Amino acid sequence: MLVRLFGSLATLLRALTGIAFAVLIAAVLLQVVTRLALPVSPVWTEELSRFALLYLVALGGGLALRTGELVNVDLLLTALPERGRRWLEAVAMVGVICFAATLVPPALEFVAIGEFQTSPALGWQMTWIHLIVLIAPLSLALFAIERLVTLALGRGGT
Amino acid sequence: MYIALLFGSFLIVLLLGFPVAVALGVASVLYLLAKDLPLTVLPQTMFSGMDSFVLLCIPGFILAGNLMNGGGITDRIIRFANALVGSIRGGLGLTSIFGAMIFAGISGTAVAEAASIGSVMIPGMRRAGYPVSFAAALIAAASTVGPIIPPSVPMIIVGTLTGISVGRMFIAGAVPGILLGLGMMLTCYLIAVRNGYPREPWKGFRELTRSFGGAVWALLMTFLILFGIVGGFFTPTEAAIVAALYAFVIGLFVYRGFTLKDLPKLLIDSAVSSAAIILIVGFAASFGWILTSERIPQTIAEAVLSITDNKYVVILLINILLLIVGMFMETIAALIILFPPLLAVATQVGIDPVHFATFAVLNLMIGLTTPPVGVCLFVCANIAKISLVDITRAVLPFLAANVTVLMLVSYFPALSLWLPNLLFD
Repeated sequence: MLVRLFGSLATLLRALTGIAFAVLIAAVLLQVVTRLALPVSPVWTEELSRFALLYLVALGGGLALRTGELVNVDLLLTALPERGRRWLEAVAMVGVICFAATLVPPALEFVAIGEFQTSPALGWQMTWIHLIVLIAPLSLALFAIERLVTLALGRGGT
Repeated sequence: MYIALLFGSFLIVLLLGFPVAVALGVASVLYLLAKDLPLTVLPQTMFSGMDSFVLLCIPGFILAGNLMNGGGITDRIIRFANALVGSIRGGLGLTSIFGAMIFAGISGTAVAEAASIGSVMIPGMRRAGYPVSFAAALIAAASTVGPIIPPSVPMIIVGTLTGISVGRMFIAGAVPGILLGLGMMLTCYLIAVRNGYPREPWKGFRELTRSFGGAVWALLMTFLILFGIVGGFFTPTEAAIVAALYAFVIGLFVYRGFTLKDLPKLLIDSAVSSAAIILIVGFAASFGWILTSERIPQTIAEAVLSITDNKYVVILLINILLLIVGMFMETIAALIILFPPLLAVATQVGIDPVHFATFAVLNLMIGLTTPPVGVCLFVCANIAKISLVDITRAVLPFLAANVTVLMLVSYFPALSLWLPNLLFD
C-alpha cells in the first residue's frame, strides 16, 4: 500500500520532469528557429529555458536517487556483509532526510526573498522560480523515505 | 580549523555512502553552522550555481545520446568499426576502441560509453576467445575518450564555472581524443600480438561501405554539433538541443529503433540522468563558495607557486595532484572544487586556459579507470562479472598508454590549441 503510494508519486514526478524538459527543448528550438529564420526573435526564450532546467533538476533529483543514478561512493558498502550494507544504506538515507529537513527553513527564506523580484524578460515573480530550492530537498527526502521503507520491508522478509 | 571540519565531514559522509551531491551539502551545512553563518547561503549559492544557460547542454546531449542509442546506433558503429579494423590481430579489441571513438562523438559521458559499448563487446570478445579481464579493462579504458572527443559534459561544466568558451574546449579535445584512441589501439595490438589473440576475417569493401552507411549518421551528428558551433550558427546549448532533434529524426525514420510511444520514457530517463549531474553542480557551488570565502584557491595557488614558478614543473605538479584526486573523488565534484584554484595557478605561469582545461579534463577522466573509485572500471567489471582486482591488473597497460598521451597533451600545447585557433581566429 505504502509502496504503491510512492510508486504513483514517482509517476507524477516523472511526468512533471518530462514536462519541464519538453518546455526546455521547445524554448531553445524556438530560439534557434526564430534567430536563423526570422528577423526578430523573442527575448524570453533564454530565461524560460533556464527556469525549465531548474525545475527539471529539482523534480528529477529525487527520481535520480530512486534509480540509483545519484552517484555515491560504495567503497565501504561493498566491503560489508549483506546485513551491514543494509544498515549503512539506511544510515545514509536517514542522513539525506535530515539534510533535506535542515534545508527547509533557509529554503523558505530564499523563496520569500523572491517576492521582491521579477524576472527581467518574462516578468514573472521570482518566488515561483526560487521554489525549486524547496522542491529539490523535498523530492530527495521523499524517495529516501521510500528507500527506507523498502529496506525495512526487505529485512522483514528475509 | 573550519576547513578541516568541511573536508573531514565531507569525506566521512562520502565514505558512509551518502550521494555525492548530498555529501557536499552536508559538509557545507556543518561549516555554516560551526561558523555561525546564515544557512540561506546554501539555497542561494545552489540556485545561482544551477541557473546557467550553458548547463542546458547537459540534458540536450544526454537526450541526443540516448535517442541515438535507442535507435540502435551502437550495433551499427561496432559493425562499421569491425569491418574497418577487425581483420588486424586483436581485431575485436581494436573494434571496441575505434567504436568508442565514434560513439564519443554522440555521447558526453564516459559512463554512458562504458555501458553501451561494454554490454555489446565484452560478451562478444569473450565468445571470440579473449580473456574476459582484458576485454573489460580495454573497454573501461576506451570509454575515457567519450568526454575528450566532443561533446563533453565535463567541459560544459568547466565552461559554466570559468567562462572559458565551451566551443573552443570542444574543438580542443578533438586531436587529444584521437591520440588517446590511437595510443590504446597500439597497446591493444601489441598485447594481442604477444598473446596471439584472434583476428576476424576481412569482410571485403562491400561490407565496409555498407556498414559505413549505418554508422555515418553518428559521424554526421558530431559534425553537425562542431560545425554549428564553429560556424556561429548556434551556441553549444542550442547545438545540444538541435543534436537531440537530429537524433530523434534519425532514430525514428532512418534507424526505426523506437516509436513515438517510447519517446516519453527516453525523454524522462534523460532528464533524470541530467538532474543527477546538475544536482552535484548545484551543491558543489555552495561548497565552492565556502572555499572561495576561505581563500582556499589563493592558498593553494600560493603554495604551488612557492614551490616553483617554472611552467613545466607546475604542469607536472598539477597533473600529479589531479591524478591522485581523480583516483579518490567523483569527477564532477573534483572538477568544480579544484578547477578554479588550479586555473589561477596555471594562468599565473602563462598556461593557456583552453590548454589547461583540456589536460585537466583528460587527467580526471583517467581517474575513472583507476581503483578505488573508478566508475568505468566498476561498470565494466560488473558487465564482465569479474573482480575489481582482475580488471585493475588488466587495465594497467592501457592506463600507461593514457598517461603517456596525457603527458604529450600537457607538454605540447599545440595538440590542443592548434585546431581551435585555426577554426576560430
